[in-house]
Amino acid sequence: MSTTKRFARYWHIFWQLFQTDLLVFWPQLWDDTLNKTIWLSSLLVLSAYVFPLLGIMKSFGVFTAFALIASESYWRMWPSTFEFIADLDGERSIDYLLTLPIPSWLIFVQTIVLYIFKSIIFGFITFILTILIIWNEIDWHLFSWPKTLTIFMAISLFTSCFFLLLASIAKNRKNLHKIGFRIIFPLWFFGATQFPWQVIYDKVSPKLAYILLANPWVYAMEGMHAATMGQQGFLPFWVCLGVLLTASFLFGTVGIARLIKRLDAI
Amino acid sequence: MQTKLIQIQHLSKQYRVGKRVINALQDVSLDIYDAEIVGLLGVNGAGKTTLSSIIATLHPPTSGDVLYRGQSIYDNINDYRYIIGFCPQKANLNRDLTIDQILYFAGSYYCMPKKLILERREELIAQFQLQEYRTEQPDILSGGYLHRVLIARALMHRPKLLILDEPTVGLDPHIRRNLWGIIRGLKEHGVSVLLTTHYLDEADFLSDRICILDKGRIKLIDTPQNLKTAHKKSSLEDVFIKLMEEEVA
Repeated sequence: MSTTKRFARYWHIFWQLFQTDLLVFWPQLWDDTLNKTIWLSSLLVLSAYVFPLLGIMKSFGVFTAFALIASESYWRMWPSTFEFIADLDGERSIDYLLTLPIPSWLIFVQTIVLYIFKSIIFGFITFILTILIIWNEIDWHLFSWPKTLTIFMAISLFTSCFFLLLASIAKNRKNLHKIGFRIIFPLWFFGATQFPWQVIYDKVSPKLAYILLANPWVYAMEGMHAATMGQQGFLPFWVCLGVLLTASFLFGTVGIARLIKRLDAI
Repeated sequence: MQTKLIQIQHLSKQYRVGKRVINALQDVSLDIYDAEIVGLLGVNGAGKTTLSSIIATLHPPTSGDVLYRGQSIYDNINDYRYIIGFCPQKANLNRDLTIDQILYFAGSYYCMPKKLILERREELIAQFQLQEYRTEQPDILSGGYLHRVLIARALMHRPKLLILDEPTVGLDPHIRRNLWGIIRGLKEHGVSVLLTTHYLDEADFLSDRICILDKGRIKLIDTPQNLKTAHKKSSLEDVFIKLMEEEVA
């Protein structure tokens, strides 16, 4: 069989796997959107309109809003990783996929692509909702559409690859729970989600600020804020994008290799 | 003269559990012919599932080779995957899809044209008597029907070799009998079957040849009748028990 024909077959199977997942995804969309709307509206109204009454800076609402949009994929990946690990501990539907006429690594790439797609859909919903709630608070002169879309895609890619790596490390669901408390939560809270990195550098400790640079989530948040609130006061946008793409490549490659080894797949 | 479909040559598989090395298979060699049913027997941990998983390309062997029509399957594993259908022990069906959808995608993953997929699906739905449940999700199905769907899914793309890992475990006797009929029917359609089972009556009834595995090695391979004659026993169960007792002694 020629390479072109083989590639066409792989692409066909890849697309069919994607179609299968979409068939499952669409009916859940309404429920998930409703949950997201309630959760996000509560947070945004508090951050943008109630917190400033308590003396917190007015821009904190906007800062939080864009952090929440960027964090959307991060927190949604968490239950997806649980489901993935639960399958490995249970019925192992992954075994069926690993016997299909397609290289095993493409099965995991398809998983990453699916997660990115879901992130984009939910990110779009989250974004519309955010705009509606805090339209007047956003400084549209500082807002860059191309940078926002680019960093959002990069963040979705990063979270997909990151959680694939976690799935390859976690031995079981109990272990993943521990990883959640010991890695996922600290990474997010110290990932410049609720404060700009510059504040730590200027007001707390430059040493601590440099240590925080080892956390890739810092680049996701800083990149998102630089794209939506202007470059000043945040890490350079292009550095953030570069680090996120590099980290995605590394985490994705290592995650897939580890999963193939763990599942003893070919 | 029968043609060899699959040749398993000196297959070994080692697992590491912590620092311990487990020899799941040791120097296993076996041929599977066209339209032949080979029953794989052995006590728990004998290596039956490991062997069927390797032939199904789920796991690689540590050493040895598997040939399809004389050529190593590892030269182009994805081409080989088109000729196999694999039914694992666990009903690993996509619980969010209906039976119709499961079968449809099972065909589309093997690049079948849509018209053929729809025709084949109707054929299998009828053959496995799944009409009543075709628009339902697997969660409402009983164990017997789940196994039927699993086998139907594995047969969608018309494989030449069907690998069945304990297909009737936990099923009622009449449902087992029903599945036996289906498995026999496959042979008549030219499909070879590798059947892993704990039920000796099942192996006796279905298999052209029996392969008994013990501690990862092939203890013997022969037809059920020859085994019974050679060991002067009336049933395969008695032969198996005798062999196991010899092993303990």
